Amino acid sequence: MKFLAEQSEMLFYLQACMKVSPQRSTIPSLEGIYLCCVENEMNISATNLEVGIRCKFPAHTEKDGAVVLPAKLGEIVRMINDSKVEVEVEDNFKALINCSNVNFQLNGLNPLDFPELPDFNKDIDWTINTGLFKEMIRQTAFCVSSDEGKAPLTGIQFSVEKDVLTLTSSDSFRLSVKRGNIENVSGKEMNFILPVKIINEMVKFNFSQEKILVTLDEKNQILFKVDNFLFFSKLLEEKYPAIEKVIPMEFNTTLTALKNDLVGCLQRIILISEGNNFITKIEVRDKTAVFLANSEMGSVEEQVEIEKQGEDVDIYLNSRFLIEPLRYIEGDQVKLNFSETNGPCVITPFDEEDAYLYLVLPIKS
Amino acid sequence: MRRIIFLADMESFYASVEIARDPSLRGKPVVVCGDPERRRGIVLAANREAKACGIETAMGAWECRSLCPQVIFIRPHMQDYINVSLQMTEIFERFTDRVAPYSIDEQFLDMTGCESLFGPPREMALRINGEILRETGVRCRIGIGENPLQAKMACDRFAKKNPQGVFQLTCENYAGLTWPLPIRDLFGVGFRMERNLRRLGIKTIGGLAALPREKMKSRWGINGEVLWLNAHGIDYSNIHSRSTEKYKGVGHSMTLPRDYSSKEKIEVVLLEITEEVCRRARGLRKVGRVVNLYCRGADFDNPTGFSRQKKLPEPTAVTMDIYPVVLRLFDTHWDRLPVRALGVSLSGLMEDRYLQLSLLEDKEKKVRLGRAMDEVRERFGITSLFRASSLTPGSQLFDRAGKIGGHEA
Repeated sequence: MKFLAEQSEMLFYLQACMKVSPQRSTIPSLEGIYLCCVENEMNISATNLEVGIRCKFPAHTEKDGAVVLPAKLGEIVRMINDSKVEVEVEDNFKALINCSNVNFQLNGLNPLDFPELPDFNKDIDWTINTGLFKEMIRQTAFCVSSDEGKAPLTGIQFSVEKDVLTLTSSDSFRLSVKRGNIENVSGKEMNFILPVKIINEMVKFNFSQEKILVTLDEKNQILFKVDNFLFFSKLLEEKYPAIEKVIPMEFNTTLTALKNDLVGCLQRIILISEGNNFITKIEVRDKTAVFLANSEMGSVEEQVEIEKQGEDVDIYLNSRFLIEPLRYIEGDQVKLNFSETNGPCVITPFDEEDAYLYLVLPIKS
Repeated sequence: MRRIIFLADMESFYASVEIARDPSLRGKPVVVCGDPERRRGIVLAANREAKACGIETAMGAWECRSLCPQVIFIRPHMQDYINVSLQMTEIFERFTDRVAPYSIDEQFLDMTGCESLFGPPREMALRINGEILRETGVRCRIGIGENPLQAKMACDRFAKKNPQGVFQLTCENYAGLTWPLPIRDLFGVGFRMERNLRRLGIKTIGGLAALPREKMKSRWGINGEVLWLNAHGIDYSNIHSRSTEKYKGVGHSMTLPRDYSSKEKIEVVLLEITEEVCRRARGLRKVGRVVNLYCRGADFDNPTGFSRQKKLPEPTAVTMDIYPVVLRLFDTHWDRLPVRALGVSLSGLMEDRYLQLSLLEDKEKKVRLGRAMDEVRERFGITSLFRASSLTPGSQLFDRAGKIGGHEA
């Protein structure tokens, strides 16, 4: 195997792969990156058996072949001061990396030891706009649980019904629901839970294609295809709890506030409340909402200008749970809805109320 | 200002209380010990006459009999000892408001400023000793120092060995008196640390004091540094009176009556311990967010075991929220060798006045259930309401009910 590739291009794809290769594994080849070149096309991939990335890019191949090289290859390519990288792999899987005045020799592994990875050779199930998908993930991934004891909540619930995708995430204290339009090519209805690992990586990329193609395979895996990438992940074999039913249909109080006012206020409140489990009291009156917090360190009180409809309300909430969704909501204004003192608080964007909803349960005093 | 700190220590505390209750025992070798048929049949306390025959604390009952055939065994009465201990605190409080019980038979007193009322330190100490002996019948020894460490060293190393039962260490005489002593005599040095230090060629307290402070710190971290400070008689801690002390954690541990090697039996005991810890936390109206599991192996010569902790996703005092974490800690770290002692503690405590509601479960209901169970047990006793697993072999609940610290009340 022998090929010549652009340094910057190769680096970009290697770094993507390094995001998923495990630091330590009982299977040595998983710690490496799989490279395969056939007819001027490079294929590289990495997996931890739960999730994986495959990508392809053009390269000048002198001799076709495949190998598994240490993930360190990414760092080697990064530090090379040359626009081209030449890699030659001998029969014993030793790789020679040559450029201007540096010669690396890397010990590789047999590519047959690398697991066989899924391919997007099945029909598309649905497609979604790339920008919309990234927004939907951002607005839900942040409140996924990290508690292994609540296994189903460690992923995002995907529900596809006709041409609408609904994402639901929760850590049992709060809940995010985001709806978006898709093109449901297969017309199938589906419900599954996706662990957040791979999509958290996906949202960091700036893809050039407008559409992401999605399909589920028979091994309970989801595959996303976009640009030169194929991302895949195992689905959680769990049942998502029916928590959506806690969303109240009607509210006694609705307040509208400028998002930046709320964020600024909450940042100050957190300075004190973080010493007391983020407990914050909110007193909603006609034109103002008063935020109060105290801890062993001291106390803070801040008034925020608001518009209120409905009754006055006093409620205790976790200030961290309040500020987090505001980072992901578009627009200058947000709505906070309350039903009663011990009922949930529901936050929605000012204009597209149907598209996004965030619910947080109060703290009972 | 120079501080005056006392450490008051009761001589052969349990045995002395027994003799005070039954004066006919005076002058005879007396040993307080549990049931000689079981593991609890170890010496909890021996009076001076018994110690003269070679009997030591923690010795097996059968050994005592061979050393001293006329020895009188007395079963413990823990509640009496607690009462006498509390009575002593009351006596100490006539002299100072800063009394800190350190154990059942040791209490720290901050006497700074009291000398204008009661005279110089030695005189105060002798007067306290006199009142304790007259009112409780127990002989008290007092170590005097300028900080708690000096007081402890003065008491353990000198006051216990002199007839008046009083000794004073100061910053001036500390080095001259303690440095020639073997390293084992330094407060904070156990047999493992003694072995470590001997390997470095250190045999006396003076030897440790001569080491550079940095060396102790780099080798054993903060503990090493504290030992170095101890060797120099330096201690920055204060005597806080009990009323101002804050609870940082609650814990419960027990030594098993026999070594357990079956996982099921150990899990039964862990549940009982966890329940007790949670009950105590709930009694203080606290919830905690760090769980610690302590486990000691059965082999005395090869001490094994571990102490590991885990942070909870949210603070709680609900037994069944904490028990799965205890089980996971045990399963992860247990080496599958027989277990002699187990302990669970809950720390990171905070007020239980606030409860973050959950979408998945009715947390208030669980909290109310726990409280209701506590109230039943408070009124009708610990065996009035229990988990079915406490009826399985391995359970310690019924054996320990009515006992204090595992000894007869």
